[in-house]
Amino acid sequence: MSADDEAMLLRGQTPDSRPELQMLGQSLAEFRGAALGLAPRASAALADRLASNEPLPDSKALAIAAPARRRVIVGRVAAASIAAAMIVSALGSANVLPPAAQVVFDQVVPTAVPTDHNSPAVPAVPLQPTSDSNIKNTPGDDAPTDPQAPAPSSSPDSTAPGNSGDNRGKGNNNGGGNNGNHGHSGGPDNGNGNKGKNNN
Amino acid sequence: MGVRGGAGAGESSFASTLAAAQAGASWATTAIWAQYSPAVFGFLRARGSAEPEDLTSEVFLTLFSTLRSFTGGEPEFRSYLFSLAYRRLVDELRRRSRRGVHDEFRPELDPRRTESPERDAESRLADRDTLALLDSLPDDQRNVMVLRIIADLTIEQIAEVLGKRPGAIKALQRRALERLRKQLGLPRTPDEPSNDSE
Repeated sequence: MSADDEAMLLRGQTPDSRPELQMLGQSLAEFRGAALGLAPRASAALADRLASNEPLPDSKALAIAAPARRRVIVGRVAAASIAAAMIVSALGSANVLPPAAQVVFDQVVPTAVPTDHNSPAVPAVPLQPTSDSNIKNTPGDDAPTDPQAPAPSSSPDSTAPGNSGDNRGKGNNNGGGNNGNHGHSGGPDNGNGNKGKNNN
Repeated sequence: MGVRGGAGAGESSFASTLAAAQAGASWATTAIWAQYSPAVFGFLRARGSAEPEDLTSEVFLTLFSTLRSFTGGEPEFRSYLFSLAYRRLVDELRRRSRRGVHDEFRPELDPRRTESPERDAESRLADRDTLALLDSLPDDQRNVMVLRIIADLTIEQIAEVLGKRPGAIKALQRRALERLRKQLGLPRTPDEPSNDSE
């Protein structure tokens, strides 16, 4: 069957040179007539639409509404991001992030948030006896030494008197004038809870 | 309405009707319904829709809700309309196969039932001789034949509606015609090798 024969058959005609295809062409013509012979009834909703002279829905209006929806979504994502950042910041300040995250946090925010002594990023500094003359005291550490004062604890969070962290503004009186700064005098925390306020 | 054909006066008539329908003129939407609904209905019915009349209305409601964004001439409109019809049909067939529901036949609910004896006779003839003619074809061949004969689409338009290549549509059409020819007991045409084994 050639393409022309097929086209004629589909139109319900029989090619002149192919009388043997007459029955097929006739059947297809009947099929076409029968299929197109019946008109459907419109549903109630469609009948309303056909009777109405109202303008058809404008798909451009839908297209305009889309950017507005996008703006709302972007706004919500931004708000969620800000809230997440604030939560992470708060957790990082409180040193309750997982160790690896805390290290990253401390590196990213080194000055904004003071690090804790327990942080693995800050090794504990052993306190030395007062005889270490190589250590230069900070200006706040030149208070008169008290030989009777208890020896400083090796632990930075010692609760020994004078190192309890409540000696702000009272001067440092921990013996030997050494408060364990070990060159950290300009830091935010000098290791004995003075918080850099060990003024006389 | 005389919008079929796609050229000359028919094309300009279609363009003015389409423009009026897009503006919401009742006469124009009604003219489109009157012109195209029999073909859509026939297509859905021949392809096995359980409720072709309701489905035809749904197709046209979808058409009218999206018509303002349509651009193109009559051939493009015809492709667009039958694409909508085909998608609706596929949805319905898929839904039915998922549910696995077999409705009991009730003559009083048969959508093919008509009031006049002439139309009734016509419908019976359609059932027995013609609509059943394509039932033996595989689905893809039946789609092509129905869209070709009832919807009057070209090979390229059918390819667009069904999402296939035109070459594949041509092959399906050829196989379908050969199969129908065999079914009607006609001798093989001597000048062509058989395509049945493809």
